[in-house]
Amino acid sequence: MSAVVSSTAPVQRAEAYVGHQHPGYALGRRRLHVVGLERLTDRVLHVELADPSGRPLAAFQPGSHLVVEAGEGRRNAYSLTGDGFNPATYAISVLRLDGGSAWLHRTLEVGGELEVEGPRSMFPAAHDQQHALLVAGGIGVTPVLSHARAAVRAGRSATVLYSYRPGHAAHLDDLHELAGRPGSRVRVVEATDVKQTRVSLTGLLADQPFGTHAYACGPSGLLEAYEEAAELAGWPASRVHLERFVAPELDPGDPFTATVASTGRRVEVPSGTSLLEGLLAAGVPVGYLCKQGVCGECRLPVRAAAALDHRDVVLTAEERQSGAHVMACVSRGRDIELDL
Amino acid sequence: MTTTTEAPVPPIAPLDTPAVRAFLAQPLDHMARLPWPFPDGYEAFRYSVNVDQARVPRPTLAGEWGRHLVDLGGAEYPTIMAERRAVLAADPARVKVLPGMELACWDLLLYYFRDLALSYPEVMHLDERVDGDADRFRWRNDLLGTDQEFTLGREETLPCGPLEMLAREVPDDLLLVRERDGRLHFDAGAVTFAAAWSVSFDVGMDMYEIHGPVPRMTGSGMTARAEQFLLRMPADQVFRRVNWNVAASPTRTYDISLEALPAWAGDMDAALAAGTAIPDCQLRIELEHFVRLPMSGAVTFNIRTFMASLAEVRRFPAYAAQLATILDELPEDLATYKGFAHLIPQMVAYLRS
Amino acid sequence: MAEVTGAPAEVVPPQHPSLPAWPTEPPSVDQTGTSHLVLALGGGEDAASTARSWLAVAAAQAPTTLGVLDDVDDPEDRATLLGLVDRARTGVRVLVVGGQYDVMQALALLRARGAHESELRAFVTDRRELPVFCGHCQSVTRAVVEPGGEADCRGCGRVLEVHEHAAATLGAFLASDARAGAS
Ligand SMILES: Cc1cc2nc3c(=O)[nH]c(=O)nc-3n(C[C@H](O)[C@H](O)[C@H](O)COP(=O)(O)OP(=O)(O)OC[C@H]3O[C@@H](n4cnc5c(N)ncnc54)[C@H](O)[C@@H]3O)c2cc1C
Ligand code: HEM
Ligand code: FES
Ligand SMILES: [Zn+2]
Repeated sequence: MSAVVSSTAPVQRAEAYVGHQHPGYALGRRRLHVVGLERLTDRVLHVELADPSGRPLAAFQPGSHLVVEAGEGRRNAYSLTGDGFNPATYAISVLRLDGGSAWLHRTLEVGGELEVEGPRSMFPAAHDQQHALLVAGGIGVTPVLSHARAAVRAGRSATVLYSYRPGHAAHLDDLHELAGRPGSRVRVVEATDVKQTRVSLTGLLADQPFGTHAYACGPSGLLEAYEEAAELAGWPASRVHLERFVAPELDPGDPFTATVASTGRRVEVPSGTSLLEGLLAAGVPVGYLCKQGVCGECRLPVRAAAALDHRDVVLTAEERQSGAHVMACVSRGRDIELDL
Repeated sequence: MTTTTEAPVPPIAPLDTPAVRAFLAQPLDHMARLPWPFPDGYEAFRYSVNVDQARVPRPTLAGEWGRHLVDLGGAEYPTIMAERRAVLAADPARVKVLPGMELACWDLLLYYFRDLALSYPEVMHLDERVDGDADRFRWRNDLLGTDQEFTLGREETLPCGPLEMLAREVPDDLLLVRERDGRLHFDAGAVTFAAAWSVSFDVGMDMYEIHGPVPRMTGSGMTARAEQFLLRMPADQVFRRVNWNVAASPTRTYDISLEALPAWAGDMDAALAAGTAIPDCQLRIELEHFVRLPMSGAVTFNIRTFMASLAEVRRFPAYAAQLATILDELPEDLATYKGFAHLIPQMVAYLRS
Repeated sequence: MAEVTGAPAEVVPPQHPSLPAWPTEPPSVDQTGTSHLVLALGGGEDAASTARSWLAVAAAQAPTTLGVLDDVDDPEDRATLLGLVDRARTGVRVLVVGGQYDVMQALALLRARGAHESELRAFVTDRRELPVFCGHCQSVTRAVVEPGGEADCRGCGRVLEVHEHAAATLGAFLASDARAGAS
């Protein structure tokens, strides 16, 4: 910030903030009705959900997932299998393991309810793709099916490689159905053991049209083989996409203490609360705008700190090094003494 | 000069209802809706990633702005839309959609129609699930007399593409960005009111290319920060940003695009010669809204342009004084880029007189 | 004047205009590619010799195709180029050499076919000709001009002033009516 600028903190908003107005854009935690259950294999349960009052559901990009309540205090992510276009229902397929997935298998019944959040998009399709190579391993078929369906809707072409253990091929029939539609530009390749999968991966990655994007989801062994084969085949990283079924990091951070130097006031900032929120709650005035760590409005001078965890995109590398400032809306630390 | 066959301009025919009459009878006051761009006490302007949460009404000395995603413009709405539609009909190149962005245009159309119907329920209506079909909608805009049924995703059910359809209904210029090859790209737009830039030239650019002409922006790291913000912008919130300028034409012409340069380039010199330029100079505010659209992941950068003349600004002495101070202090590179460096002394004198 | 205030002088960050950044030497062949497409444009001897040296390196490493196109504006040459792109497989690296006009237009065509920046390398043998995009009629003119100079639009006949602003997607420099406003 240049010295010439005499900027004052903006007027803080008292009004409640409204994100989207229409219910068709609701993404927060809400309860949906279970309107369909289907056992796809002995370990995979397909679950269909709808809004209890028949309101439209938020559309989503292919490859999105829902965060689903899966037992006491437990929330798991499950990929949506639909194409995301103006969906009447949300559909997920859950492989039974030990914890929340087993709870879902045990507990869900048609007519019952399920708490969900999202959809969230972390595995989207590139809009410049000339062709899609979709690679699925086991239950990783769920987002791949979503991508294949979206490609069909957009009239685009896709090659699907599905690697599964015989007898455990959830959604294989759906993929064949997509490929079999008149005029379909979807092709399905199957592999039923590790060797076949590797051979197919290598062969397919060597022979895709210019401008193809590849997407893979499956067990880590498959994903490693995929990344390796893509690199060997000369694919730039910008064309190689994947999703791992491990929990995304929603890091709420550790609690810490901030001190206002001028008054000696100590403010406890709990986990999941930002420094900015902590200070505002304690009545310490701080200007802010975006609360996303980009606008630079909430920059606070730091006198001393045991540790600073910069999570913004405002401060330069040198500024971070110096530790003289912290962006209160996103960054954290330990025992921060603020020069206020 | 080559003759271009102009498409017919879709007629504007307001319905005769009490709500429409009341809406169109609102007093025309350009200052009342103008998003005053400077915080209280602000005396020196520099660019910043000044994004803020949207849909929060902001009072000003003259009125209020920012309550809704779309400000129709009150009684001026039909005038703005007539200009918009005439430009679209005469120059189809103002609408540019790169391959792969078709779905994003539908996403945008549906989002805006739904939002408009909820913001202006007396005059705008969206019927959903027409005949029980979740993809069928009926849009009615009583202020312009639009009544259009359509099927989402089916271009043949609209008189034009979805992006142009929306552009015919709202005063905002519509811009869509999406990540491609690791960077955010401006890959679809319907822009009739660009301030001296051209949508057909800019479409397909990344944020660095677009902002190349803007002094200091990329060099200060601002382009990178703006891009990061848009890439990480959460899907459940809507943001906005305000930009300001003094328009190159001292008239209320919205279309001062680069395409139309030959039509407006002489306006300022003519008004200067006639001695009327300075009071008529237009403080031109762009209110930009960022929405992440769910079906495509595209982010909007929709620009609503507001104008008030310096004469109108001068009715509010505090604003006139603040604008004079800011113009006076503005570094030359910024004033030159904005295009009014040569007018500053006269504008400052006028605002202070 | 400045000495009365204690404030340090404002540091003005540098401008980054949008202009193609051509290397001064032909770039090397990207050895991570699994095939190569070398495009020699415009029929010049400089382009041919650069293409030949790329070809030698590339072909020793991976299957390589050479495309020689005398005129990127010629529909037949364009079709040839698109045919080469259609036959190319992901993993290919494309090397383009020729005059600035030809190279910018060919790169735009490749980008329209989905090329990513990491797949493209280019060398410009001379900058005599620029692709000039008319902001009024949207046509692109091949013109001997530099940014800041003037050129006649082949679409609408206006005298255009070429801006210091280029678009990769279009493969052209922006230009607008140089006489606008003059009465
Ligand atoms: C973005 C995303 C999308 C996902 N989509 C799907 C989906 O469409 N369908 C689906 O069934 N699951 C999906 N998952 C995985 C899902 O969220 C849960 O992790 C999974 O259901 C296991 O949860 P649990 O509570 O039953 O297992 P836990 O009780 O946490 O673990 C049970 C046992 O299984 C092991 N385990 C945990 N996860 C896996 C795994 N993925 N593969 C093999 N072993 C594992 C654990 O180590 C443990 O031994 C997705 C995850 C993410 C992050
Ligand atoms: C937070 C995000 C953004 C910020 C902070 C920002 C900032 C700016 C600034 C400061 C200017 C100069 C304006 C003036 O002085 O009048 C500008 C110009 C411009 N911006 Fe942005 N911008 C952002 C996002 C975008 C996006 C997403 C687009 C396109 C989709 C865009 C398109 C433009 C264009 C076309 C211009 C005119 C450039 C020219 O003169 O050719 N901006 N922007
Ligand atoms: S409020 Fe914008 S950076 Fe913190
Ligand atoms: Zn022209």
